[in-house]
Amino acid sequence: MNGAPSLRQRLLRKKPMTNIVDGHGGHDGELKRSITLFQLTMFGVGATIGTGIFFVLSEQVPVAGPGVLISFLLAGITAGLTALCYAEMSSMIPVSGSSYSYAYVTLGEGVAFLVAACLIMEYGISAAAVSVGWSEYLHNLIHNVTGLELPRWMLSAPIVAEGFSLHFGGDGLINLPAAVLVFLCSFLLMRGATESARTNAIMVIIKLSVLVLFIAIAVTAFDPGRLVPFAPHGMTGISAAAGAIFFTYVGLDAVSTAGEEVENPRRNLPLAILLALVIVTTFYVLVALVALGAQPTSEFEGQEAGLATILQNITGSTWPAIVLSAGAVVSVFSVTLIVLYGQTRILFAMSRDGMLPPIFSKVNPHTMSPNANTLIVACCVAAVAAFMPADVLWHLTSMGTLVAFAVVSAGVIVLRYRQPDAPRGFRVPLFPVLPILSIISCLYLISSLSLIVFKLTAIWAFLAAVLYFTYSSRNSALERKDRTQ
Amino acid sequence: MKFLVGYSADKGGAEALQLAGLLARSSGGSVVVVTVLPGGWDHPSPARVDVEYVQFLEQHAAKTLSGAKKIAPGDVPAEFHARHAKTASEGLIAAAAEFGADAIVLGSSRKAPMARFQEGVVASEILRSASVPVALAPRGYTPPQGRVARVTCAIASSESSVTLAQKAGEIAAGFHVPLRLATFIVRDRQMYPTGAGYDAENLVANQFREQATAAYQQISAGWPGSDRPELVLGDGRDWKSAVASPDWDPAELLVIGSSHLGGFLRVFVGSNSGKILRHAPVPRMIVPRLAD
Repeated sequence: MNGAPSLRQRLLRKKPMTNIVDGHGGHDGELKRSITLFQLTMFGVGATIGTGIFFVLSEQVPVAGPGVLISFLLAGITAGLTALCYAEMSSMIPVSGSSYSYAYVTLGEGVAFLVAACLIMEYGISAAAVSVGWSEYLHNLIHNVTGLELPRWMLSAPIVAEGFSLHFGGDGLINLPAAVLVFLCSFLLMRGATESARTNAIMVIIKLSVLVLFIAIAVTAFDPGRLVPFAPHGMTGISAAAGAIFFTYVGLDAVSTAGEEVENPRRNLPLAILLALVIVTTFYVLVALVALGAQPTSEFEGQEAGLATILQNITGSTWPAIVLSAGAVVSVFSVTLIVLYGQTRILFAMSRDGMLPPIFSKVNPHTMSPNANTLIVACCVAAVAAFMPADVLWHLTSMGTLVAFAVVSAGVIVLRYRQPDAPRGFRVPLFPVLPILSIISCLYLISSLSLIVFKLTAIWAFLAAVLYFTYSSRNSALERKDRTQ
Repeated sequence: MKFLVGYSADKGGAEALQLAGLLARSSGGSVVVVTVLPGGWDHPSPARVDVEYVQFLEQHAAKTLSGAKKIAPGDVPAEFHARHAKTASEGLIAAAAEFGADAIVLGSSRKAPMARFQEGVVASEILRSASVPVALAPRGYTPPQGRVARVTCAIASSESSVTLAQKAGEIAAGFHVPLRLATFIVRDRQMYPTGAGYDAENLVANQFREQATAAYQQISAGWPGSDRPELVLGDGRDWKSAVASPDWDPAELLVIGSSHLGGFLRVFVGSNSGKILRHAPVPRMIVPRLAD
């Protein structure tokens, strides 16, 4: 090959499948076909439930009113459709790889870079969002246990979103607990912390228990009259809330990627997605329903540590709020750790492919942990968590995930025509209706997101494009290979 | 005997492997080379984002172990394994149990002066919690040709020295070599003597020497076999010269009891055992806290 490849060649070049197979199998095949339907369903529930629901109502009830219950269903249906498409995509390549690598192998470097940019929104931005929520519950816990009131300036971001712009004018100067949490988790990651299936299971139990506690207590104050008017802002409000609520279903895709390890994937994969979705949605709807019945719609707006505050108002006692906040603080801490871990590993994979500078794949020779990478991620995520408002972060997470899923759903259709005979461990039913519905529902939810998110996403896309054309496309491992040929 | 090497792709790892080779050859045993890697997620995750990282770790392990195969002594049976664990020390202790190893062998931190030892993070954690002996190669260690020539056990005047000496006797018997007992005496030279004058320090040292000799006699009297160990005294102005003063065979192995370390080498870094551990010019084996 003479000289540099053309732009089109660069965007479409694919990583050979052998690269992704290399070195795999050191686990002695212990995970092969070992996950049962029940376990997989529980993984799905565990990966999905319990971060967003702790925070989402105070943002979305003012938007949709009690109609927020419909928003949960809309977001859930979209999540289910996309998870099914994702499952087919994942089952096409018989070996492990992240969705970034799947895209690189099947759809080419351009799409892989786009998927990675979306994953950074799904992981990096949501890490910041989750830590902002954690900060609220931590403050609630400290206040209820010790009576101490932390100064307002250190509890919330200085930047607020309004229409198309971000400007200073928030209540605080910095969200200090959120930033501290990010650094704390990063420190643990550098020390080699990972989450085992067992810790994961314990965290799921904690999350579900506190939500059950909430439902059980809040239902005692249920007043059906508070559900009327059901949709004060009509369908516009309901769909606007659905877009934002979508992030509470992020994580369901964990089920889709487990295809190769699941017993009888053709049956169990869709069933696990469906079961996990039903369980998660039931929890969300019940929590939202009892919360709506327990206090007037007008009280949700701006309510910090929402679920704990509701319990406190109902019972007049602090202990249920303490239990709930403690559960939230512990489980959200673990979520932050996982999400940050995920973020560093995406960047690691990209750096190994030459798409990012080598510093992201440099590891400490003794702990084998990518410390520089972790530190850079910590600084960026902590800065976002400290200065950006939570609602914008949640919307951005939804945006990134929805774009990625729309791409995956489109990819399923493309590959059915381009590689009709390629082996697929799982095929989406009702092709092509289901992937098309998946794309439509993603686009519908995207269209309901706030204006500022489109602007921020456009800026992000621009920055990512600049990075791709100035660095990644020139330093890609495939580029080096092209040149040596 | 089976020796488990905590192997890393650096000089410390290579030195540990050489020491394990010598020990295995001397005892007619074998070597298990283990490299420990952090684990990835052991459950499904959104987008499986850590798969490439885990693959990298596995490639790294394969490379590390093939490097180990190249430098492993050819005359000793050896096996090579990679294990995932949260920390290297946890992984090595679990591997020692898995393979039924008689001792764990580690290299020195690169911070130690040449031919001396300093524990790194992994070694300190293992010394704190391992239930099998831990052999440590000094920095820059190159093993002598042949086998272990002698085992020396450092004893103090305390009661636990008897148990330790017996354990060291078993180790020496495993290598088919004689055992020697050693006591180190440091004459503390302070800038300002106590009111009793400089000579008082000599009195203390002499008293310690008498106690050590008494301990030796107690050990010697109760010695089960006919080949009773000899006693050597290391005497000096400081620990460095005291430990250096007896003659050391390059093929010697020094046995130290961790009961003197109080179980926490790093905390009790000033303890005598810790000082012997640092200054000895030969490989040393730390015997875990003995049941008194």
